[in-house]
Amino acid sequence: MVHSHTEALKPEMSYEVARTIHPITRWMRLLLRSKTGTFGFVILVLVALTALLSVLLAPYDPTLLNARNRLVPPFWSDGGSMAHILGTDHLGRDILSRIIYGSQITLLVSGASVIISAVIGITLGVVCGYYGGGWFDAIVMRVVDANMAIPNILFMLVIVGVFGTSVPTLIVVLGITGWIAYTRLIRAEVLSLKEREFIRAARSIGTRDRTIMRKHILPNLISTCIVVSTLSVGGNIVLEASLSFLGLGIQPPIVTWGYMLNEGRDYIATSWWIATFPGVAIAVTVLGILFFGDWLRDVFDPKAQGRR
Amino acid sequence: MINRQKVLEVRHLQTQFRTEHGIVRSVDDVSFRLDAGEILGIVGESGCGKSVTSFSIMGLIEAPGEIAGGEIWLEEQELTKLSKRQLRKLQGKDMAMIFQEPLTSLNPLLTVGLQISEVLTRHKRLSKREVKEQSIAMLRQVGIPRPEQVYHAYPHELSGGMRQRVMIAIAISCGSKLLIADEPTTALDVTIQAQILKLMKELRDNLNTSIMLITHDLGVVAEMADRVIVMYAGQVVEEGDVYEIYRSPKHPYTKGLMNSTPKIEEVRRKLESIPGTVPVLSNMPSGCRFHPRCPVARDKCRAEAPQMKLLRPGVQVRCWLHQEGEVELNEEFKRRAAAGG
Amino acid sequence: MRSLKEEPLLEVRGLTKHFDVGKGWFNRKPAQLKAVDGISFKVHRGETFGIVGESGCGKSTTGSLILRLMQATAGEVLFEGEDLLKLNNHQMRERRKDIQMIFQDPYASLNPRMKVRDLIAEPLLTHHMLEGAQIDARVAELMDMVGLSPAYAKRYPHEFSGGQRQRIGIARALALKPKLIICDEAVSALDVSIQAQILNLLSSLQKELKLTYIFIGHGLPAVKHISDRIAVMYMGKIVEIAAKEQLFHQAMHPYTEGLLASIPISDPTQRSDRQEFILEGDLPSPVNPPPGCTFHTRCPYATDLCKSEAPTLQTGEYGGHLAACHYPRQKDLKVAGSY
Repeated sequence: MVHSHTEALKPEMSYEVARTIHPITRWMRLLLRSKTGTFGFVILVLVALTALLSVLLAPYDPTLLNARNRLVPPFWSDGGSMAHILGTDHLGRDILSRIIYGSQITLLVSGASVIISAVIGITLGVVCGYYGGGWFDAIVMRVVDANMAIPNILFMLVIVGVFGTSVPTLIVVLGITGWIAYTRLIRAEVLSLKEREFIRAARSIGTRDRTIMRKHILPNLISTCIVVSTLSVGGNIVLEASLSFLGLGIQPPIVTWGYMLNEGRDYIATSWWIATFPGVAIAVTVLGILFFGDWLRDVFDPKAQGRR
Repeated sequence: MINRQKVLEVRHLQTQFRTEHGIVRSVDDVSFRLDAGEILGIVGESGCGKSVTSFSIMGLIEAPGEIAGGEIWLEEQELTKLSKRQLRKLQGKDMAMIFQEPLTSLNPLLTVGLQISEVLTRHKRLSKREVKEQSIAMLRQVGIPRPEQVYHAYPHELSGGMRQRVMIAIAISCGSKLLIADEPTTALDVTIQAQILKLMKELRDNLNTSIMLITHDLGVVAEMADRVIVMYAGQVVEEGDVYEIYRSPKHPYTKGLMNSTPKIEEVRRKLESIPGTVPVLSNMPSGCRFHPRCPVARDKCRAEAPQMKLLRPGVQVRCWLHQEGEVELNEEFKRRAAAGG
Repeated sequence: MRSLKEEPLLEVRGLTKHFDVGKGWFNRKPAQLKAVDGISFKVHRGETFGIVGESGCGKSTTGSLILRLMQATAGEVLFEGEDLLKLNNHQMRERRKDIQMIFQDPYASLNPRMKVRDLIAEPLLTHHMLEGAQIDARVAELMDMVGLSPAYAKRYPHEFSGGQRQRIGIARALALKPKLIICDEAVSALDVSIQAQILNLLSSLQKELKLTYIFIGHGLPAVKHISDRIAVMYMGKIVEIAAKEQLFHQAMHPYTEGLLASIPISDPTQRSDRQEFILEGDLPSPVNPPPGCTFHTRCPYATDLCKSEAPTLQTGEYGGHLAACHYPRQKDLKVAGSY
């Protein structure tokens, strides 16, 4: 029943010689066709540019205190001024400038830590799944189980407590606590993938295990990896904020969005803008990443190629 | 044989799906009728529209699909005009369907007994005890050994053949006059297939059930059907009495299909095959849909689509060859080969 | 016919595969599923050896065991006199060039993320057979050989129909110039008209390249069409082996008889004179097979001997025609009332 439908609705197989489209042309076509993809891409480019060009874009020094201008609301509210478009915080610092500078460390920490967790998590997940049931798999899975029982934040507290707080420490801490999500999902997927007939077919021609994992298993995991990664980037921004809140995050004078969010919490009833704008920045960025991730999945899916 | 009562009649049915390639018409102008106690074989390869036809009759076409035209008469009712709710009253009671994969069409979490009872309680007013008794009686009727035990079993505890028997029991439990069997034995082993086919024949003989048997297997049709419809690319290309079709197929596709089936009693080193592949619905060839694969296609076939031509009562074919009266296909093939060589 | 002294290309002796099932913390002694239970056969150069049977009879497992895609529990697989099961991984990799496989599902057996060219080139690259432009030339040659236009080399498998995908699978199998190809239900998933194309292709390739096939399938007409000799399997054992004409006209084992009788007829006029020999019942549980002859639960001729003692594969009245039955070709037993 379903079979005959898919058969009927398959993209047409035209009989002319295969067109070769340059990959970048193809990507751009795919990008423009997807509204959400375009949105995500634009947001990401904007945030990245903001981070790179902070020095040029920011109207003020983000750490500049100004006791006279404390708690100025954004320009459209009563008492606001165009001098501080998004207002100032309880120490008189310009919020817009802080958001612009904050993007640097926020992106660096969340991005770099996701790369670390992805590398560890995917490698372990693939190896565990492929040799499922072996001793290595058993050990890693027990570690994963144990990790589920201990709150991540507790683990982070210990590491940060021992090594102190710095940007590299934070990246490593977030990185080595984040691999669990990858390993669990990837392992489950590899377990089912390795039963697929094309893996048997590859083994039947004498392909080595390493090659099978690299050429046949990894490419088929791309969608899962992208989904987990886009979710993790958002998650890590929030985690970094929580650590800042506990006083174990990145210390001033370095600015991050999470830190700003926590600072603003105390004033939320009287001066909503302090916490709201970094919150909006986080939300928009995470949304942009999610949309972009969706589109990225299409790019790597050969079945999306035939669609026009 | 005389004075047959019509159970189902399909007239000019069109079913289409909205896809990213635009509208795709999976069933295009399909007409046929099915009489009481008759087994109608519908043959075709994947994508020919045979399953979509049966879904259309059962009212199982859902968005993005829709019935775009035609009529479906089940006895005195026109089904395409009915609301979903009215259809639901008929489904399972006046028409029932069995599928290819009995494991996926049974709910794995409910016992066999519950699933039969469900249909009975929906369509019949019976007490709890009567429902159970009747369920067990149905299981016995479809040849399940120890029905009292099977009543309490879960689908996964049964073999493929037993599950298909359960599906048939559910289908006939409310006395449905029409049974649509969509590749009912394709997923089964041959020895089990033989058992299920025998059971379906018995149902026809004992209950006078009309069976619409959809299959890709010409052997199953030869074994079972009274009349046959051959479908290709969403259309009926030939209709006729089973003996007639096997003795002298009228449409080149039917002939090709028969020649490409390996036969157990023949010794041949090479099978005749139909070149090429089934066209994709979104990209139909011009004229006759079979012409790119047809050995006797002419210019007219490429330009203009043939209509169904009634050769004599009950025998119809959609092919230009027979427009001016019936042509012996073998002769025609030879003549063409001679002219070409 | 063939002289018996000629060395077979492949000889399987006592091949066995047992799976442990229900192994857990509480059952100390796991039950054993005898997927393949001590089977032996020979395959000669240039022939097609068919294996038929219903699902779960062990025919596909046999194919996997020969290619060592699964580890055998016991037995020998002699390929050109060398026991494949005793080779180390490196030696086996070398041997895989000579034995290739074609799989059932043309939708599942090709990696969806690889282009046709890469799929066909993969075996060549794995074994470092060719380099650079030679690979493209060989891929084009192979595509041409299986009836695909080399112009499609840069496409992905999903852009092809089932039959075309199976052609890609065949091209892959041919890439290393193997001596033996195991076709595991190679045409079962295809449409009738496409099935005929693929069967014809396999036949002509066999002639052209002097290939030897093991053709595993459940569709008897297709297996009969392509095979020279056929083994019938039931519950992990070979119950009958014979040249195909003998098997189809003078079946010795009642299971073969039942299997043949259940093939749908190809002409409706044969309906009336068709003998009613429908095998009753289902396959027994493979974990707990019946004692004696595993077929006795469904056999209309079974006697007490069948219930207690398992028959061995024995030569019957025809040369090379073997059947594992206590009463081969004694159909009148039923009439004698001993069942």
